[in-house]
Amino acid sequence: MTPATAASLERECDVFVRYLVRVRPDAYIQKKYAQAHSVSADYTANAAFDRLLIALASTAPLGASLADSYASLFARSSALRKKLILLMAILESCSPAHGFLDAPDRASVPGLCLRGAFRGAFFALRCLGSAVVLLPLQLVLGGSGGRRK
Amino acid sequence: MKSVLIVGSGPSGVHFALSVLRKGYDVTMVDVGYPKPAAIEPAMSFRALKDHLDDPADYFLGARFQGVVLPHPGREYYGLPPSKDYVLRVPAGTEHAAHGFSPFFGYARGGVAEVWTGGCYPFNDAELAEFPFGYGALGPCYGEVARRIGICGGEDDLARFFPLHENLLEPLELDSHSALLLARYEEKKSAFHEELRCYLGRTRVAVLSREQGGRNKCTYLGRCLWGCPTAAFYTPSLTLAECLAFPNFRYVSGLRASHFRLDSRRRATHLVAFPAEGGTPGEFPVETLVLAAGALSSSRIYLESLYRHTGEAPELHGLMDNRQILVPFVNLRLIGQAHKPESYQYHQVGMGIEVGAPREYIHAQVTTLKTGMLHPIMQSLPCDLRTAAFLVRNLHAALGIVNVNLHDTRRRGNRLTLAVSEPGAPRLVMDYAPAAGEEAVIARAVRTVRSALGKLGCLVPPGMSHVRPMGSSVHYAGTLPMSRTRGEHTVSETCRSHEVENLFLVDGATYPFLPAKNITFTLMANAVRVAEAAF
Repeated sequence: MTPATAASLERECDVFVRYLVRVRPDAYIQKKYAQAHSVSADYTANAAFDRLLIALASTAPLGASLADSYASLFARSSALRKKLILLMAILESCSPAHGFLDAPDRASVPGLCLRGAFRGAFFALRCLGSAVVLLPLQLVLGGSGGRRK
Repeated sequence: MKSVLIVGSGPSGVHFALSVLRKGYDVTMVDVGYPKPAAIEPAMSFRALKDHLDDPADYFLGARFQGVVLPHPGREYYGLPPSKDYVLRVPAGTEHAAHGFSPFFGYARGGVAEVWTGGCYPFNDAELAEFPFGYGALGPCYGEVARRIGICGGEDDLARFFPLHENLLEPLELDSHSALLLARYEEKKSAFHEELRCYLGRTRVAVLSREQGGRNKCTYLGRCLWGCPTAAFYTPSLTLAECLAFPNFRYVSGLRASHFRLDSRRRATHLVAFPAEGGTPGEFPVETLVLAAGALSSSRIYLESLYRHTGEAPELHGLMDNRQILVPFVNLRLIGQAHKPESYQYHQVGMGIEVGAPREYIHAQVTTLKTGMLHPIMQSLPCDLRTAAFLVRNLHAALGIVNVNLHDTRRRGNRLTLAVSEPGAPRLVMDYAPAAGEEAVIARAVRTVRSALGKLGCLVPPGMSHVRPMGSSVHYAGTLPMSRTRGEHTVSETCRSHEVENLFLVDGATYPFLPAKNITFTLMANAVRVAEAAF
């Protein structure tokens, strides 16, 4: 792995973990994320649109949120989704000290339903917003693993 | 001293071996036998592993991250965890082709049952109707196997489907989710029986609820899915270890049995076995040969032997397996509650549904998901992963899955044969087509399970039920069935081949019918029955 690739993965990991669990990844998470990329080709973006999604997601947690929302419906097998799933898998394998919260939120059931409704609404808005820009680009550039099956 | 050569160390092989060793036979067991790695930190709980292992991701996901479940159209939510990868190793020379069937071959020490889920369900007289014996002959053998391996269970509403046999241990402590389901069932029992013909109770599982035979009782570490580190949960390698203590037992591992040689009187004279990773074969002289390599592998050895002897590849008809349907659910009363991983992790609640004739009974096992990985569920939800994490985090304690099993019958055309026209070793070919009308049976079963779950206060998310491909249950049977009369490619009541006089088959190949139940317990009991009746 070249130093440039390592730096790029480190940045990706930092942004993606902040997006997923709102904490910075520690050295262990960074190491496992890089290791997975060195032993598996699953996380390599081969298509132009895949690279674009990753570039957008790597800018900041907001970019990751938009790109993931779009990919969750229109590019489920994209390299971005695979990278995020990999991070989720690494996070849930580790102690909570590494950032993944396995326990439920402290709220009543109606409170949880309300939060769920808000999250659903924001997800729909993010999908809509990102689709306006990304859907035409995906049609032009092609690739990225396709729609939900 | 009489000698027996056994192929395979799965549940049939080891229990047959133990029985004949006790009778004084000289026993040699030939096996590929990939060994199980030593358990990591056997005293640690599931949670403690995450907290204290130096590299927990290596344990839970594997060194090559093979435990990460990525989006893939036909992939199932859960496969074997990396700690059980040894069961997936495949020796050289086992190439095959399958149509309509997804076979799983296991070559581990202890066989595929090293990764079973422990369900022990005796067949009843209705299910044994096509067997040349009834429950009266098998019942004492179920009791003997229960004494050997340790089975928890009791008398409840499911006893109408599972006969009660001797040596059952008291049930395990229920996890809170399973306890809630059974309490709700007690409240609504009459509606279950009258409207759905559906019955709930405790599953019978091969795990110790008290210390027995030098094995510890279950301490609820929550590591069942990853491989029980304390041997409280039974796997056949434990019985193999018991066999190894006999001076008249020889275990030869690292060899894949290919075929046996026949003389002009069609008696098996030698077993030919290749080193698992390829190389020059060795031969073992045969006095009595017992195939216990699992229905597919035993059938393959049988087919290749006849092919080499006659120059023609026969066909074995009647391949069976249980169709399985996975129905995930959310228990609405547990939303937002904390899950408790320190509990027994496989199914604790069973469901029996009466349909048509008694032998067509539908069997289901209810597993409450506590220590399964969550990312496979998150990635399957139609939303971004942060929202998915919110949902799964708050639903974790409420999640469960029902594994529905259907019976199967022997049908001509569902067959095994060898492809012999290609260069190299003959290749096993499997053809399978479901019974006519299966789709309607599946739809009805899912409807009933969904209604039952509704009465239990659970919701089945639409579109998430999954019909597993045929072959997934790994309950293979029926290719060399027991028969009261001498038919071609059949065996006698004592599982002696009608074609080869000194050959016995003691695995699922000999079943003339496959009930909806897990077959492993009956494999062990039948092996004991054969050893008692014919040796």
